[in-house]
Amino acid sequence: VKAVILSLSVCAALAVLYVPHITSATFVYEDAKYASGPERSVAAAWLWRGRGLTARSWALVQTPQGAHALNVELHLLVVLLVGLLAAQIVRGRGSAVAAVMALHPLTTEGVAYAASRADLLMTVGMLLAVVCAVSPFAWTWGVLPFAVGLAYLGKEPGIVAIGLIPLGLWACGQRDVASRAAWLVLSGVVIVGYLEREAIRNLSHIGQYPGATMALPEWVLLQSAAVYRLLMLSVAPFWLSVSPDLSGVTVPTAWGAVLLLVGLLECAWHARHRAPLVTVGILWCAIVAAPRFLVRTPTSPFNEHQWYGAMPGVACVIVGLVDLACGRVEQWRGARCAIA
Amino acid sequence: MRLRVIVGLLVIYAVLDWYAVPVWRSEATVWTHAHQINPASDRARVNLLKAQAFQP
Repeated sequence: VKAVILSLSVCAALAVLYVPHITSATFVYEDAKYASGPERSVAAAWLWRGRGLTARSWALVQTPQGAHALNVELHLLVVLLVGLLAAQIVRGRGSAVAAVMALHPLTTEGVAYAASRADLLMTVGMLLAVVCAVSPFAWTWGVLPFAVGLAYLGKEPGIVAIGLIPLGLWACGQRDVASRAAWLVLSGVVIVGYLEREAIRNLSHIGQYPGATMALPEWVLLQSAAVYRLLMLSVAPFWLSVSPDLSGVTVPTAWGAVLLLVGLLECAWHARHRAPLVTVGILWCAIVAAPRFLVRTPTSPFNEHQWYGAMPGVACVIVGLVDLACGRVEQWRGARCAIA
Repeated sequence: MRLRVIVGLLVIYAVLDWYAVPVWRSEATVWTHAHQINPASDRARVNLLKAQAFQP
């Protein structure tokens, strides 16, 4: 009953927040470029390339109202899939993780900014792939290729859905299958990485300013600082900005961010038995963020709407930490009562 | 206790969303917010100019 009340309250809150936005918001920033610009026609011709589906969807929905409504519907689908996945990982936690995903302020840019539909479609595909992989029904494995395809056609980094499948299997207790799948994915990544090493080295000429580039070590440091900023915003989402300025980040600060990210991975390893939701959440964020450390777009480091794909992981970490903290407090109270 | 903490968090999130979603209503609101959130940054002047250009 509590889960139903929570779900209904979250739906009501989403309606109050987003219905006025759907009815009155206009196209902003890069929306018009996608809605009517040349990029749409070029990309729509390449339905089988990354973002092809997103480009095709812009050809179908061209009004601001339609675009914003579609984003909200995709967000609701993401929330539903996050709830299903979290319920498979830890029984009874699905609605809490879904509620955090639905209302976390870091998701507002992804939902309210129409041009970030690519991130929403990618996240739907990634979650659908993992939910199908961990489902108790064998037939859902047949949906897997379509789900991975949906993630890739939503946005190129969606290909990491392949890496998220072993993580989901491990989290749901299917350790043997997860281990085999992880080795398979890792081997594939190493082989493709070796064969395509030249292309990967030059993965900088995409984005808004195709000519802009940066040395890889410098880019990794900058991107670490950007991810560190987003992690801080995940905990305290008070300073969201469409135009974050990372030009003032010093080298020591960036190295501090790298150390923090490595430390978080170690925390994930240590928490794997006591708080599996925390481990899954941190690893989810790491896998989703990984491709952005290779693709260099110096004028646009990791920002809020690109972080949308990592938000299911953030929601898992938040609920996992709340569980851990409340468990400790209850333990402490119990010990105090026993002494009294 | 867990439920109470989660509900408390959700209430805080909903309040923050209430201020975050309208930022994306128009070009003027987007760039005014971008300038206000970090007026000392290198991009602040550009953001302010964009905000002024889109003022109705």
